[in-house]
Amino acid sequence: MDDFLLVVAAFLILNVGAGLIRVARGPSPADRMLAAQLFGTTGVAILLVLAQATHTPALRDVALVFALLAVVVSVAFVKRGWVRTATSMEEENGGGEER
Amino acid sequence: MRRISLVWLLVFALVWIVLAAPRYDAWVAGGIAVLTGVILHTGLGGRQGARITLRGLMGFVPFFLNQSVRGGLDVAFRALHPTRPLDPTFTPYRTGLPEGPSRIFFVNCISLLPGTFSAQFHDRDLRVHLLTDDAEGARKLETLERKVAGLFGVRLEVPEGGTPADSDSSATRNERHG
Amino acid sequence: MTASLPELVTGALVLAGAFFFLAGTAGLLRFPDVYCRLHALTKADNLGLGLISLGLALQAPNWTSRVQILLIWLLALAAAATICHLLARSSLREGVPAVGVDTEVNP
Repeated sequence: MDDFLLVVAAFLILNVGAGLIRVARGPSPADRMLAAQLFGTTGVAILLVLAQATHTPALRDVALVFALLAVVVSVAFVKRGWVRTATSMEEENGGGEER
Repeated sequence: MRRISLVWLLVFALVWIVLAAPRYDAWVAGGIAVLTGVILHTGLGGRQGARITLRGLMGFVPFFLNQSVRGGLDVAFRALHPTRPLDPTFTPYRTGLPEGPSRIFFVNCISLLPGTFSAQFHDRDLRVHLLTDDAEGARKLETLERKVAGLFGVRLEVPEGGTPADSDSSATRNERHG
Repeated sequence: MTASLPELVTGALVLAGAFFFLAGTAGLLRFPDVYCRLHALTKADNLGLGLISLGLALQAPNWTSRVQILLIWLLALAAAATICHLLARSSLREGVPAVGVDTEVNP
């Protein structure tokens, strides 16, 4: 059972890795911020699976914090990060968002 | 000053017991956390009218779980399908739910159910993104609205305009030029 | 190696959950605009997390762990709904174009 769960955890980590392609590609800042969502849910799932596989219940507390932090990060991004990124992009590319 | 609810004190205490499971000696920190939680909850308007009923919960939870599974299957099918069948659009929706927790809950549920998420809302007017542009979308929202009203034991008010107003989208467009 | 019935059920649920995470990532990479990608992430990933949570809850040693897993899932649901709404709202405000909709991007 534990080995099986470790394989699942590895698979989920690969999933996050694949999702990072979207972060790298963008094109809009919000596309990149989808990573917070991805890390939020997939990260929580990975931690829950690992907590069971390695018999480390403390990892469940980490999962809880992960879920909370995902929201905080997104709020911070929407309130502060976006404006700066969008304007600096316009300055760099003359308003174009595609690269 | 609103009164501190005993029910919520109990709920927060239970949450703490679950979180600090094996350490019952942590009640100093726990007591502070529980009290802070209850005070914040009361201060942020947790007691505004609406009240979750057990019967409403029994009606809502199966509906929500069923819809969640459908939402997941639906989006998984579209994502893995070779041609990605999508016909996305935005649609305005006017809710009859009263201001307060039930309306907020409704807006959040829209984002978790199949093919819809809420993109903007102001007062009664929502702007919902649909994954597929069909008549089913509005009907699904109405069903959800009724279920949420049942959960909170509130009555749906008839919106003044009757039909959902299209003014929301034009207002956002004007905003962009301003 | 033999597995008991609860273990088999857990295995099936966890595998199903992993499938939905895969679908969510596929949608994230393949869907045409940020709004559709939000659908993929919020729906598929949360169902995936729900299934995995359910599967693991069957193996949990005691009831407090089970309730804890349930709480984590509910929190993740609330987080997903909030993040989805926030990102969509600010994308609209910033004029990120949507496929199939004539949202005017600033001229």
